[in-house]
Amino acid sequence: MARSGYPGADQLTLLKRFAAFGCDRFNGIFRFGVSPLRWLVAVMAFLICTGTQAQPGFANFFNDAPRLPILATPEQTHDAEFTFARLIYGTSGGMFSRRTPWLTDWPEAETFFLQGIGRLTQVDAAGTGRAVSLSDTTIFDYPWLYAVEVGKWSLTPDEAATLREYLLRGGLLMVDDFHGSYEWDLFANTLRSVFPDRPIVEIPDHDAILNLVYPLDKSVQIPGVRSINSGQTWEQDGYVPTWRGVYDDHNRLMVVINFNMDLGDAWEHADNPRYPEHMTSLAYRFAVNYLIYAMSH
Amino acid sequence: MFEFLFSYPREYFEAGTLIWLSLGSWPLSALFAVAALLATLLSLWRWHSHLSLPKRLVLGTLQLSVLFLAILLLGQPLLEIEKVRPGENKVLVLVDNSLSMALADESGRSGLEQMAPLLQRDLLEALERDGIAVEVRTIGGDEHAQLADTLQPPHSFRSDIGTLVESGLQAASRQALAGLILVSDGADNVSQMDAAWFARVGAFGVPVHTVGVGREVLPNDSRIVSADMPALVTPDSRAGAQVILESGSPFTTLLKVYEGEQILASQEVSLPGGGQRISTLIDVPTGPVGVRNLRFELDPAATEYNLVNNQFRHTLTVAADYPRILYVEGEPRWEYKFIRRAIEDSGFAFLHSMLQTSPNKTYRQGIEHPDQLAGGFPSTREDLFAYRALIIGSQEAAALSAEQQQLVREFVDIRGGALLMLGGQKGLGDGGWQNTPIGDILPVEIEPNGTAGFVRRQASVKATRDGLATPWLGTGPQGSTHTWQDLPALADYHLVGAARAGAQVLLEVGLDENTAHPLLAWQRYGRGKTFVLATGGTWRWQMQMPSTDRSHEIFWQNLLGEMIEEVPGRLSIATDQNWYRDRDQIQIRARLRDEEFAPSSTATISATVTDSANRVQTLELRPAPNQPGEYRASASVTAVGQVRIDISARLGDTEFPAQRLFVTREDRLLDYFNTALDRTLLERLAQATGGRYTDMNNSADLLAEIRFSPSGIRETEWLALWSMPINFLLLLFLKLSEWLLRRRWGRL
Repeated sequence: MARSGYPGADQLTLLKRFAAFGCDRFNGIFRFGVSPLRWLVAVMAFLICTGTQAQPGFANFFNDAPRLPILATPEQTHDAEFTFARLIYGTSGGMFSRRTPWLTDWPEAETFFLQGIGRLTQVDAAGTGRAVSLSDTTIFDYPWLYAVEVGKWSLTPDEAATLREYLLRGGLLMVDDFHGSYEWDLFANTLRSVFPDRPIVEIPDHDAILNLVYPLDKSVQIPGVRSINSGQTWEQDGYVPTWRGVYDDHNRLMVVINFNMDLGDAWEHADNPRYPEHMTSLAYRFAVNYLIYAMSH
Repeated sequence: MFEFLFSYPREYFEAGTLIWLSLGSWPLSALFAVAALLATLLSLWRWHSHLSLPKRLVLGTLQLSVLFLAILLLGQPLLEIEKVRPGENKVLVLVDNSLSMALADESGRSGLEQMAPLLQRDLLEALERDGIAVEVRTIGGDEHAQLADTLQPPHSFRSDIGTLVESGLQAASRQALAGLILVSDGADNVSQMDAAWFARVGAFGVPVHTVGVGREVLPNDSRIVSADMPALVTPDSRAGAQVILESGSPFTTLLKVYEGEQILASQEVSLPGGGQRISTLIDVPTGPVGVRNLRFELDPAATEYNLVNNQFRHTLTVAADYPRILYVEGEPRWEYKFIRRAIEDSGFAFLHSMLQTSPNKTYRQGIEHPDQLAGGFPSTREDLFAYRALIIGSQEAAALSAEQQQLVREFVDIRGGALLMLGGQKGLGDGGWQNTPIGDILPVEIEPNGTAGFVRRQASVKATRDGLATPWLGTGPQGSTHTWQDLPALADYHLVGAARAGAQVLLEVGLDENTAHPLLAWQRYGRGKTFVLATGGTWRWQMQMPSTDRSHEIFWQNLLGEMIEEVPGRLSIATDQNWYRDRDQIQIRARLRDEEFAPSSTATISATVTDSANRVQTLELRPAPNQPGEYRASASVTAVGQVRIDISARLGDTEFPAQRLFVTREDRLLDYFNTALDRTLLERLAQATGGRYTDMNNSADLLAEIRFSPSGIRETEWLALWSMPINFLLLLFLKLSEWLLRRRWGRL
């Protein structure tokens, strides 16, 4: 199958320029004083930047935006046994429909994640991740799939069917960084189009995925980077961290759901002195458990 | 005409000896001849001036012939024949009245019905005219006054031709028997008619003439010849059944496996016809613990008249005695996951695995208790020999100590276990297995030939000639609808060296049209087997094909099933058959090994056999001579139905876990499965005893064989040959010819 693009990729340049302009203005509010025009531009930039990046370092992201993720391709040769595959998906529309939430935390999340995997496990991991869409059969060469900000995701019927088939064949999907009842409902509705017949259930404490390499505590909420400034570990009304999943007929997890937490931010900010180190460490441990589980169950 | 000219039947001349009553010695005969010659010459001398030489030679020849004929007749030639004495001999007609002879074919008549009138008219009546009594017997020794009586039921459900012939021959020692005539289709399904048996019946000195009934190929019949599968299997797994099929005409049909009315498996089969047999493998799910009464059914063609032989039964004992397989993997990788899934989902084995997740951590999976493998790879015989197979994945040789590597070697050599080594970036040559006790017993050289061994590049699979001829591989994973060419490419491959002497390469990776490297190879080593699968990338078969496709699972189940199939447990039990059709003797066999896995013949083994009527027999199994570690007993079960066999064994202080096996006994079936004419057997029997084979349309050919039989009460008879009409006609012809010629030439 031919290489496919990803939603928002064609608007990325425009968005980058606009946002970079707005972000500069936003940063400049406090330097140059406030004028009505600057306020307007700053508010628009704020909405875009916070909605898209949810992090203070967003300006750097957009300044680096020409660095797009490497798309998964039907290659004959792979660099390593494990490649971090980031799921490209469409969004459900609305005022933020032009955003690209699937790109959130890219590329630092992968970078730190893969370094952690290389340091803590025997897994032969590729140095960089790939992005892959559900319209591309290449996805079946990547039995591990990471989807972020799935509180905004949307799948066409064909994409849902492909994801279902991918999971039934033995792939594992980890979803992360979505919060509160509104995003849950949106996520769950989409997941039901994938598995109308399978329930989403709590992952019990004794499940192998929580004990396989590291025994993990489900009571700790791994927060997003906003917590540095706000001091709040939750977002929206997502006060309680929840580990849920969808199991196959042999009681093996096909979908691992990190709800009301943000492991991606914890990996991404492993080198941020303001982000709590123990949260990053815990996020690594979850990642190690998830990956070893995906490669052993 | 022959008998008119020569006074006696032709067979008299074939069987008799010519003797002379008055010819005397040769000198006297020569004197007569010389005198005749001189007389003829004198006669010719008288005509020398009147007739030319050719005319005189013609007349001389005629005269000489007359004189010689006269001399021969004066010698009084006799034919000496030895033949059975009328009124004092008997012929025993053994009629195979088994069901196979009584089954009506498409003409609506059975072989017995077609044979009886022909044999009665052409042979038996002629024998009786010769004064040779005829006695008719059928299987079981029943005597019948008339051949026609054998047409009446009940018919035997077993073609016990061997016993029928032997009992007939034994009767020869008590009475004057001119011979036996066996009327049969030769479809013996009971006797052990081996070389010793033929030598034994030949030693009686009584010719056994055989009359073949029926056809060697039945155009309107298809049948299941056999269905072989393990009697003892594990729950919720799949067991392969090797089914042999045969048909008279080519057609395509369905082979199904039922339990009750539920279809467990089905497969389309193309039967070549002409009596040719084909073998097919069908996968049967074993289900939960218990007994499965399986029924194999071959859908019949529309014109078939024998439907009983389209079914075959097998009693499957499903016991929770799972074989244990140990899988050691040196790095987390997709192959590990999907191998585990393939085995776990099939449930036919306990797969214990050790996955090295980090340099200091090993994750154990599938273990039965927390302490299992807690100390790492087994380091004692007791721990390692508990497994039937060992898989070593992408694991460096240094991960095992020298003692552990030696133990693995003994696991194959002494215990008879199976070893599989996989390709991987830390496996085979890249893992440093060259020149190790394990590397030395692998079926391929694992030197990477100066190139990088492990290659993370996709490659296609193709079967070698040996692979195609291997039943569990064939043109694709046996039981899968795919051929090797259809399968997605492997994710990677591992370059290995050439196969070692005695090893077989079954699959290869095809790098291009002209280049291929061993992928799957195996060999026997000691009591066990070693395998190499030079890839860590079969998982792509699972991820690249629909989730409903089982090719990947089937491949691994077949491979591991093949690995563990012949690996012995410490105590194993078996019976000589699984479905006892018209047989009541059940041979029970047990094999036992000590804790070192050496065969032991000092154990105490007993069997409790319970039949369907709840009659219980307790038997002691005795060590078999010249078969170390093997014990045998025989149980006689007459009740039809399921038979349960419970085995208990003790070796020293060790009490083995009790084992149970089920078989089934049924009556009135066996003969439906063997209905075609076995001409080869009948010809061999006739040849071994000095008899003659004929088909039922030419039974009169046996008349002479019996009249001049070398057995029975015989008499010598001298038949005068001088008075044969041919002599006088010849004399008349010679003299008349001479007279006519002399008249014509004016020399009367």
